[in-house]
Amino acid sequence: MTKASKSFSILFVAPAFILYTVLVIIPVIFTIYYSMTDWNGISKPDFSGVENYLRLFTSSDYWRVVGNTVKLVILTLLFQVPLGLIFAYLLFKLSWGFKLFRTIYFMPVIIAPIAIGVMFSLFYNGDLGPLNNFLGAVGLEGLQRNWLSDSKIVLYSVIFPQVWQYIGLFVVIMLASLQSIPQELFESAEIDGANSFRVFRSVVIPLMREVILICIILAVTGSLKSFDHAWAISKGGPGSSSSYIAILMYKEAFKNSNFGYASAVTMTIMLYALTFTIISKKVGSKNEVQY
Amino acid sequence: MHSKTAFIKKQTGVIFKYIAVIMFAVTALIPFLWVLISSLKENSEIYGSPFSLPHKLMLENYTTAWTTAKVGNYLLNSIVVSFSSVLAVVLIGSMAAYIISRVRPSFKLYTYFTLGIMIPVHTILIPTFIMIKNFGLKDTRPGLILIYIVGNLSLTIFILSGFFKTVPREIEEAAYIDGSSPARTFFSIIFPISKPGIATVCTLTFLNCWNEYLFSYIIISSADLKTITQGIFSLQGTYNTNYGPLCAGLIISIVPAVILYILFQEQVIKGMTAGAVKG
Repeated sequence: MTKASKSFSILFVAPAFILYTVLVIIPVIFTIYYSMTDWNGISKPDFSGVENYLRLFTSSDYWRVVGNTVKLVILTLLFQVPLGLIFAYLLFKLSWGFKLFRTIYFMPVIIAPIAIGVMFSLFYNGDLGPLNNFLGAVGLEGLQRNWLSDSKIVLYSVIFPQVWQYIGLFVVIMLASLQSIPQELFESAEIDGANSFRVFRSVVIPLMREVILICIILAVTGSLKSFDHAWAISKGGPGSSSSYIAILMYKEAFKNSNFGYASAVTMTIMLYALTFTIISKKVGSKNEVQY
Repeated sequence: MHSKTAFIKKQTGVIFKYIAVIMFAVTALIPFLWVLISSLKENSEIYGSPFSLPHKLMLENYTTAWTTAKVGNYLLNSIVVSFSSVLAVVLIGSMAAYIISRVRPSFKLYTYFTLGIMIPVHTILIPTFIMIKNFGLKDTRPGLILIYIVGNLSLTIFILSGFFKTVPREIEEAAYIDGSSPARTFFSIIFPISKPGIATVCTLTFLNCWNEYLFSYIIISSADLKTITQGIFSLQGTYNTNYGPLCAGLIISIVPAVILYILFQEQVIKGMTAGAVKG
């Protein structure tokens, strides 16, 4: 068999290689560089060392948005992943219609986050939106709120659709994993008299450790990148009460022309994501269950 | 245990399972249903009786959204940008994946390319923006398309590399024996039988481009080049209490994605979970 010539191989890989190196790898290096400069985007960047990092680690705005991001992560891990697991298991045990429900659950996942955000901003409108209207209609006026302008709750108004939208993603991922568990394990557990719940606890969860871990990593790193939902619903406001780290980065770069500072903010996102992924993988690989 | 009690217990369990599953399905669909129904109502009806069916079908909301609010324009821009990006990324991505997974397998290159999956888009936002500006491609479709290409390249190469590895060697060997050049082997033989992998990559890339907002917002500033995601966001600004056309615009923006999903559900799911699981 004639082996393809070297020049052929180079030719075929070149377009992807060039584009990827120029527009992905080199920008990463530039971000690291910019993060150590003082730069308004127009004149030459002014090298400033770790000044940006010192500034952001002492900025209350920065810690505010980090706190918001952490709240998102916590609520995601409390609700999105467990609900994904529970409904994956429920679908798995269904005798009829699991494909239909899987289709329905996954649908929000394919919709643009910005569209979901705009959608929910309609629901949340204090006077015109259906949410307050519904609460009033069922006699729960006390629960009516200024979902968008009350700085104490606007963050949660943003978090809710984010968590809601991607439950289906985890349902599908975990369902696929459930379907790969050998039938015999379920059958023998049932013969031993275990009911659904017991099987779930003692058979399913241990065997799905790896997938659950992947979902957790996904959920956390995804949350760290959050932008669209908050932007659409409240533009991160009022102030920065519903901003995430990425929104701070955007505002600093494109509103305040602090490209250097914004790059430093971005670097912290990458740092957190990398750290979390590495730690989770280390923790996760400790006790693996074989069958 | 008495068999009758056990049976009743089991049946109740099944009923509760179905109730939970159905209730969750309802919560997944209700937001969209509300927007759909509202898009056919007059504004006063939307505010006054938000949970009723439309009095009469107010299709004018759609024409308002499409023409006056320029949603039709934005839709077209998204179609052009998304299709172009898909074409380009599938072409150059499959070419590269073929080489690094079959012709001259290179784990180094494979790792190099798939690193991109773990790089959050924000990390390259600012320098890429500066670069596109310096190339003179700011506020142009090609500028945005370039970004979408590289944004999806890593995942494309990842998925297709895995796929090409499963293509039987005999097919390539038969082609060489027949005197086919490597390029012809790729385009006329390997590519066509990789349809499932290509389909997955196409649907995933299309959805990623269709739903992308931030880069579009940063790169494109001219109103007539805006994509649908930007369009929807600005619609919310200008039509902010004009719920009728706003809902119509929302429905228009999500219809293509939903159609794609219904037609190619397996590919969409495979693509989106592949990306997720690797990252």
